[in-house]
Amino acid sequence: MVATENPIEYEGTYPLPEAQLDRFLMKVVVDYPAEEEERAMLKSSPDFGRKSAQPHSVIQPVIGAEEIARLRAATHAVRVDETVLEYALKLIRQSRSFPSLTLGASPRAAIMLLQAAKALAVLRGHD
Amino acid sequence: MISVTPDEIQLIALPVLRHRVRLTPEAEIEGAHPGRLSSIADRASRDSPIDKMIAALSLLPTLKLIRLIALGVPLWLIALLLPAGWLAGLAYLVLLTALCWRDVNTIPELRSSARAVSCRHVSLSASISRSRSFY
Repeated sequence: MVATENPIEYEGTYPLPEAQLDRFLMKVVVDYPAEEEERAMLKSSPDFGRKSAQPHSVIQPVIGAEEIARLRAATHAVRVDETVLEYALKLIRQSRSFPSLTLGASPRAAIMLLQAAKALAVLRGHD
Repeated sequence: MISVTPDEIQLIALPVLRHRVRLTPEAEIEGAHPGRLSSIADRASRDSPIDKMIAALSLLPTLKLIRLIALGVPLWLIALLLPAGWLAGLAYLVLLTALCWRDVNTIPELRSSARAVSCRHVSLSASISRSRSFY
């Protein structure tokens, strides 16, 4: 599941409770586009509003269901060394006693940290 | 077989943890943000009592030497006035050397143990600091 959050507009929405936020694997902050990207946006702006230029009409699938299943299986097969596991555990446990935090990471966060690290290892494709 | 490295844990830590932690009111007032935890952590480590203790320990041998020399000045003056005063002066010099030698041997041990505690305290900050490129 993917959810978006606009940091400026809150009307009709409410912040999610911590227990629900904990269900999300990660939060990716999307900042303003880079200057070059913004320039490209401006150059394509004459097409703005035209049906043929709508994103959903030009975006093509980049991956299929089978490929996703294969990548998920590859992620599950990634090995986690005992020392790396200890390191992740230490990181999570220290967040619970960190002076600037009143709420540290949950046990679910520890599991997801390892899962995300495994996925990153697959994407990097190293041994 | 692919395996996870500590570097990958560090890289992924901030995106995975930033929405799961909550700052203290003091940190929020200071304008902190979970995505910028590295700066808070760096400041916290600088201001920690353990680091202040390390700084004080590194000054200890110098302070002790100055204090002993200052205390020794009247003794040296008395020793000059008394017959065989050079003997008392020599004894004081031996005592001074022995005390300094003891400090030189004990202070590094104290400093390294305090440094180990401090490293444990700031290891989270170091990890988050390295993953700041994800923000």
